[in-house]
Amino acid sequence: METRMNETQAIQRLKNGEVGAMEELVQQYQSKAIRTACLITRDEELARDAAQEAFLRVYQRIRHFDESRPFEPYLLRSVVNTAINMAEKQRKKVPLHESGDPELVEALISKAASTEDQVVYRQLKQQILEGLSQLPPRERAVIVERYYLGLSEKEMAGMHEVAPGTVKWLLNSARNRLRILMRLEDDQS
Amino acid sequence: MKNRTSEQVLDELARELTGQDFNLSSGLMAQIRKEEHKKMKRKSLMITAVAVVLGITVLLSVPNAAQAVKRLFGYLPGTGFVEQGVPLRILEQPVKVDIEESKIILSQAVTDSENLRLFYQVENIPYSDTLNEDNEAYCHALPWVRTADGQRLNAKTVTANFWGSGYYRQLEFSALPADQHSATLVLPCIEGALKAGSPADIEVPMLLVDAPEGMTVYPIVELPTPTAKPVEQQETNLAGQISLTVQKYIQTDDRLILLGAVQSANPDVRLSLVEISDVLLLDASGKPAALAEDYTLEDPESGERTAQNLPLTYVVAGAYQPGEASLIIDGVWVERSSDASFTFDPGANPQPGQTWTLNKELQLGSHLVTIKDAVLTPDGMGFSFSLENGKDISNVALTDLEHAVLGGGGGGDGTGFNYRDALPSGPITISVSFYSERIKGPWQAQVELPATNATPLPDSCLTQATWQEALLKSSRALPTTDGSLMVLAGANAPDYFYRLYLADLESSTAKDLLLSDGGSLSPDQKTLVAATDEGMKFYDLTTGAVTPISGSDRRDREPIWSPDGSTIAYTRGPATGLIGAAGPHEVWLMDADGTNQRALVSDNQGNFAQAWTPDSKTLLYTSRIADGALLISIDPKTGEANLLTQFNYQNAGVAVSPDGKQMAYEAMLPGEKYGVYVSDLDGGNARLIANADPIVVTGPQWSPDGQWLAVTVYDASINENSSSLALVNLATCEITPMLDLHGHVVSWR
Repeated sequence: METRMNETQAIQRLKNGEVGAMEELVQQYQSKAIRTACLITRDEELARDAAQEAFLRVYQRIRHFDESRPFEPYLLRSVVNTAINMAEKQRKKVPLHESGDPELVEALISKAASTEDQVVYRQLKQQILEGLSQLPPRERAVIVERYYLGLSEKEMAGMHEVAPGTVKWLLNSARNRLRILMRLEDDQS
Repeated sequence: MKNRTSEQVLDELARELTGQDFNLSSGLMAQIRKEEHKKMKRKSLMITAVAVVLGITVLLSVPNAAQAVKRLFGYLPGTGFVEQGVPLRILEQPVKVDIEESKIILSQAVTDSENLRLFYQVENIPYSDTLNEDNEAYCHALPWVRTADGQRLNAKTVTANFWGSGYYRQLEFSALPADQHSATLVLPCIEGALKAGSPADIEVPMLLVDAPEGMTVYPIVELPTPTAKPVEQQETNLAGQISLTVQKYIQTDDRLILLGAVQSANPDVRLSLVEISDVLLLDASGKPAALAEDYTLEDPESGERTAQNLPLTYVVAGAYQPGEASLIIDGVWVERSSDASFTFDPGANPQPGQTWTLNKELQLGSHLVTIKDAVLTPDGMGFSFSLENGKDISNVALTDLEHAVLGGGGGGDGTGFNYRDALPSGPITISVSFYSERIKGPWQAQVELPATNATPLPDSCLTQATWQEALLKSSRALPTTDGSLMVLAGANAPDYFYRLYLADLESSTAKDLLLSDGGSLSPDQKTLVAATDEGMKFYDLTTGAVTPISGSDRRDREPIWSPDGSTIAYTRGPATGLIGAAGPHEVWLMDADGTNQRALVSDNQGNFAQAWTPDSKTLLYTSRIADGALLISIDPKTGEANLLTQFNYQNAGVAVSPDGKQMAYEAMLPGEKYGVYVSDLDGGNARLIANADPIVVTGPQWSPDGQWLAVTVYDASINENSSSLALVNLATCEITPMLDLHGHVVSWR
């Protein structure tokens, strides 16, 4: 397996008191952690703080982590939560005008993934950035969990242990997104 | 049609937002120092390639109580399990390949009929390559093996230890065909180095020879019957559904390795861990034997770790009474789910930052957890909770199952979540999604321990018992200070960054001087030289003025001022500057004014300046080796060096007595327990001063009158977050705890 290192071994060594193993995990996952956080915080400094805080929490709780389970989602869940909270604290200090539409951002991402035209792609990327900026952090987090971390709605529900009877919001969300996508298709045509 | 995935789109955006300069390590490791300080587990970060000394005598002397198991596997020290009864081929000699400034060392290769195991090390990954670049730009490709007939073998399993400037790896491949004695290890690039500019397909040739007569492969001895013995547990209890077995052992020349497992018959919980503090081996005389975990050694026949099977490997080191012994496990941590929940009503108009005092008690199994309060997040879209729980429960994670939530990174105090859509109105139900619980045993397994050659440790001044006695004393003896000054390095609240403090023993107070993790007083007590992340600095103790030392950077650590005041010795770490980096370390000197910086010991080893002799004519330094460190004396003028002795601990710290006749040093006692010795400079007449496990004692420093040792004591029962100072009178063994002074003594003169 072409991994940079064996994460299971690193976690075992960390549990055993080898702090050096933490550096291995940091080296492997810091990029994804910071990028995940930055999409939510929209502030690089804050993103680094959030990623660092998440790594620290992982370190503090590592002895309870079951290394037979994948480490990355465990870490990134913590990154998402920390980034939301840090971004919200920041927002309290510097209020933003937020009038974004998460479903529009989702649609823009889908369009950007499909377009072949580089000019259009760049424009769409800019629109996604603007759209993200207009969303409150928790809504950015929804986008990030689903589209950046690759979690399906089912996985998101499973991850957070949403009870089976509470998936209505997921269905509604899916329908709304489909509607927005159809509207965008109409606009482009 | 998709040209790219959503993830790719967002990843590209994220890269544009964040740039490419990622290095969380330094800040994070500073934070972790706080945690590290809790346990004082200064374990080696470096595993140098272990030279496997070999000879093939299968031991036949097996105790009567046990019988040799199938003989399918044996244990080869430094390698692990190998097949028994088949010819082994091993590397004829280590192979070194230089790639610009980097060095690749293939230290060992062993093949039986099943597997080829390779052990190699890469040193000196260049500074520019290990920092400030995009992770994706690095080489992540594992080496592969090209056999003599051109077949490609890919690595099956991997272990590794990275330390920033280098790494050590163990790879496992399919076995080489029986008729082949040569192969080539091919590195597509150097892992951890930038792909761009890295030479491709670096080839390391290896020649294998038949293992020589006399190479020792130790047999795995199977105990006669399964030894599970749950003690008086009802089967309906979870404890009754957990069992302990010790199936096998291996006895080498210096240790006994026990192989076993904890298993659960309850599918609703996951076995999580067994803490070593919960494990006790009572020998035939009923006394505890020194025990340590070995996570690197997995019994090939015990099965993989699963929710219901937790393999255990323990090393028994040191002396014990042979015969029937008991391995006792007092507690096993499991992860379990819960349907416990509580409801609270945030009211009609909850405000961000608002706190609700809840004091809700949840029954989780037999444990009571109190949810103290809830706080609404700054945007009013989530909650965090503070909670209290007993010591046998941990990691309690809370969520709202009835609404979609985001994030959530585990349980514990401060657990919480954010709502995806909106804060629900009206009462909300908060549920426990999972928690960790320590299930109390004991579980016990009988083990027939074979005879051992190890000799028992002598008594020491500072033991757990004498420490606890000292804590109860109302009076305390102190060294004659006579105007001497003590400088401490400690990581204390609120930020837990290391600082230097000027300590006052009489009043047990410490004055904060500056941010630094190491320093030394000038003999005239006017100036402190301190190591900081910006390089070494002079600190004027009278005025508080700080003067950076030109030409020094964060690599320079642990300065030591010579007794005659003329010279400062220090250790220069690897270019990465990463904390704990175990790449090359050099010993440097500079004049007392910070000028004339020059290398005294400069090679590819881990060399650490330790102490001056009182005449300032000799410097002692340690040089790490695979299983410890060499203590070397060197004349700073001529560079003439002499080996004094060898320590069994890579990070051993050394202090020389004021009369120059003795030294105090840290050592690793059997079972990886920390100890402190005093001996002659050549290691003769060693006297064990501290052996206080589970209390950790490190960092010895002599009092100016030579009568006392100051040591750092970490006693978790007193303070989990901080260590304290203790003074040990070497003549009387009297111990004076200094609980208000935290950290370790870096200078006392």
